[in-house]
Amino acid sequence: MATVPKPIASITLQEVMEGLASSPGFQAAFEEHTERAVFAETQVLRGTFILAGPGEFLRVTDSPIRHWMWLSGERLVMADGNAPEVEADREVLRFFQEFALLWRGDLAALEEQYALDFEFGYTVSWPVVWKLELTPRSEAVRAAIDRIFMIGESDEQGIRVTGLDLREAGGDWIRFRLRGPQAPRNEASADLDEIFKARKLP
Amino acid sequence: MKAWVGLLLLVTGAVFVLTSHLDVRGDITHFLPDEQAGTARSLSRSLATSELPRAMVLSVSAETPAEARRIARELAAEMRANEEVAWARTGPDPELPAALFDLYFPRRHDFLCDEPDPTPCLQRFNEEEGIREALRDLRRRLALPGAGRLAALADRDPFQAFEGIVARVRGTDPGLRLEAGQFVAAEGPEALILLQTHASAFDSERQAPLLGAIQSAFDRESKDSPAVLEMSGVNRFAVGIESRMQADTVRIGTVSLVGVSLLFLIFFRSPAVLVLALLPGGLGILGALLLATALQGELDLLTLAFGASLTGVAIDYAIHLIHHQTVAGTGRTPQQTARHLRPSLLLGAGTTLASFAGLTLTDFPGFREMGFFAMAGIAIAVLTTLFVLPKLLGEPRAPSPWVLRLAAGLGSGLQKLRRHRRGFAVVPLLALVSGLWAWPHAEWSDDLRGLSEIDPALVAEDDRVRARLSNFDASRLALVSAPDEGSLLRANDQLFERLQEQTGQGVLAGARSLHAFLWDPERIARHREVLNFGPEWRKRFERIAEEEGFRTGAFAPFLAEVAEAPKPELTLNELLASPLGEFVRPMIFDQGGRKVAVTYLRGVDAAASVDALAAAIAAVPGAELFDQRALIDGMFGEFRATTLRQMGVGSLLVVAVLALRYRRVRPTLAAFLPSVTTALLLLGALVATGTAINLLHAISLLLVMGMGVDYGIFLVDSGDEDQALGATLLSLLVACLTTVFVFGALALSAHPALRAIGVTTGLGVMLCFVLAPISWAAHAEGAGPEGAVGPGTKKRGRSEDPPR
Repeated sequence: MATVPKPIASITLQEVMEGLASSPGFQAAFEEHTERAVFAETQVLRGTFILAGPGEFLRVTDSPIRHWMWLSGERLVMADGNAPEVEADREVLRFFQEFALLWRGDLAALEEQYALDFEFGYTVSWPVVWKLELTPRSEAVRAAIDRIFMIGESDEQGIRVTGLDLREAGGDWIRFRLRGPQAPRNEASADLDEIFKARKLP
Repeated sequence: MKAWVGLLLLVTGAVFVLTSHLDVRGDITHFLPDEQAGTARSLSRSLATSELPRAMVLSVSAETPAEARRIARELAAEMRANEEVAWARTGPDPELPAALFDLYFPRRHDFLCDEPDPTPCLQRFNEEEGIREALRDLRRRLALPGAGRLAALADRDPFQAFEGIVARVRGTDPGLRLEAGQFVAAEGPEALILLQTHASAFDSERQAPLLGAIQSAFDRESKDSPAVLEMSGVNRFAVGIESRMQADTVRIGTVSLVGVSLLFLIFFRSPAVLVLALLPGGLGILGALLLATALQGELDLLTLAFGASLTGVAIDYAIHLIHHQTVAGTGRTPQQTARHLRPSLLLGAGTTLASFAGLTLTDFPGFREMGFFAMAGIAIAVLTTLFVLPKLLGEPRAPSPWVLRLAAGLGSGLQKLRRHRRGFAVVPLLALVSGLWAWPHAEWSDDLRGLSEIDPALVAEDDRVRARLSNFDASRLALVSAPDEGSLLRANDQLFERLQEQTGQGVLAGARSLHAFLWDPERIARHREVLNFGPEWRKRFERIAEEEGFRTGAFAPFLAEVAEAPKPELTLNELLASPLGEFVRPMIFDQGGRKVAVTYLRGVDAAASVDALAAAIAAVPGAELFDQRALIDGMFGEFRATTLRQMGVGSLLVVAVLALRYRRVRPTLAAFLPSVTTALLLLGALVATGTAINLLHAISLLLVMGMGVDYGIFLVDSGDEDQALGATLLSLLVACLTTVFVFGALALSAHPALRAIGVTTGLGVMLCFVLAPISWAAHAEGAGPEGAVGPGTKKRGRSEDPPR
């Protein structure tokens, strides 16, 4: 007996943005694949990503190296292994501020900086998947980033970002994927909470 | 009539020459020390004339940040079209990264090891373990977030040498926040524009229209939006001060003119006499202006204002001559009267010249200019009084009977005091006590800021806009000087290391140094000697790269480049000629044949930090901490002290001139007493009223002493004859009142500097008049036996024709 397809679900960019804007933040495991022309093989990093609110996130890499970075408004600090934390320079800060902007759900701000191309995929089952392609408008940004692809899904639980793909101007790819359940921010694990508290986050 | 026509032609010609050739500037930098005054002192002048004060920051806020950014973009575009604007930026210069790359990338390995002795660090790159370590670090960093810039150059720069250069240069930027590629406030939604003008910030004539143009352009771009423009820039203060001074000039000029005109109408019943009385001062100023035009082609506005006040001094000569001609009733022709008064007038002018001579010996070009201008003006004025004025006087209208009665009353009144003349000695003694008490209790103020009346709203706006930037403090700098470029760069590297240590210890937050752009040529040469990227090394590098997880041939571009002949070392001249030159130029000065490198400091606030930093910097040969505010205060303190010393030296000089003239102790001291008594009493009054004494009080005291001596001389030379004495006292009264109207009117100024001069000089000249009889009393005692004189006596001996 042939499977009867369910009706095609649809979603708009506006709905995605509203969903992101109303998100309380979350914590999830991530996996990042870096494909660089100079590497013999793709590098894979794994760790935990916490979105704490607009313009604020913590990313802790556990494997194969230890590293963390924390963006809070106008500050981006990083630490490699057990080395003391260092403040990122303006260019790197700007890059990650734009990255944080993607999660804010501010369509007007995104449109000011990127040309947007949104599409959603229809599947025979829930959830609906969607993809937002962002092309930097600024020539200076385009010299470093060729395209960003934000991908996510939507179901009765709400709207979730599941990955970000970045194609650098030189052709290298960075594919960032969130794996497993996305726990709301208030369910963040104790050790990450400690990091937040130590840095006086709300 | 002939004389008038000749004079008119002369004045017309002079005015024509002045209007076509004299450039009047309003440049406060002229009142900073000149270039021969030592590194740190003359740097304040170099900084004031550099590009730094020409910078402006415009801050735009609107209903939304996006709207603020739009207005800022449009406003900047309009301003770029203004011929007074050198550049206007709303975001980082897009050309700079390419310029940095072109200049440094081919020489990146010259800047690989930023250490005083780079050899051990460089040798690591020649060895297997060192190469492996560097490649592991690269691989790790390429896998981490934010490695885009590094990745783009990884195949050409595996040792991340260019990344190091970029990081150092980035450390020198002012740290502006960016939003959508535009500069925005550090903590706020305001969009910012950085702008630089072509003209000096102190050139109000060009800055005022520019400020107007910025406001008009903003009004156009924001017409449908409730947006707000705020600005920060030295030019706004300069324009603000000048417009207030211009308003002052009109007000003070009107008060002076009306006051002096009324005075002359009352005493001489003729406006023509006023014209005659003003003639010596007017011609003095005109002559000094012509001299300035011929010698330097330009004159400062403040010198002009100061020079204009010379009319107050020069008018005394004319008044003295006119009164002796009209009131004394000697029956002399004007020429005879002038001849008769010549010794007194020349002596009076001579002592005034001695008073101003000190101004010409300072390190401040502006004060030197004032000194020369005053001396030229006074000399011309006294010569005009003696040789031109008598020809124009003709037969002046006879004075009113009440003026004659007043003169007679003043003369006989003073004579009546003859029997109490010993009592006059009390006043100089009191003055001496007052001076002795005041000197140790005086509060000296050398804070330059106290001399300028700046609109508080303007200051608040400037503070608000500056707070939106996180910038380097341009008033506190580390300087290092050396005779040539090589030794300068070497010393600058040492200084940078010291400053790095201080940053590590939390004494300062950051340093913007030439070191970020260029190093000691010997250190660079060491890089080229030690690094060995030969064929063997390249093979080894390829092998290690593959072992460390890099693709075969991944670094082919790097290996091809290091096999080529290196580009010549970067020189300071090449750097200055490049697009990066605009960042480097404010860091380099030529100072009296030596080269000076300037490091801008950030976050040095606590006094303890300043001391620690000064000590650390001084440990580097040829280096010093430059604290502009403390230095300027110190300089003005030094100038005040010099002025006070000059009063002492000038007084001795005046006494010597008087002694030469009179050749007797009594008239010499008699002529000198009113001025020194006045100065001591004034000092006492200033201290008693809690007034902090500054440079301008000192200059005013100098002026008062110059005028006080004139009064003394005129009284001593007038002798004992009632009519002559009466005429002299009357001329002193009119001269005093005239000076009060001319100088004292400055007390109405909104500008504290002019107010200080006005109050001190106005009070001082009144005291000079009141105390002038001391001269007469001291001198009269020697003129004859005490009992031999009495009221109504017509002749009491002649001292009005002193030896020539």
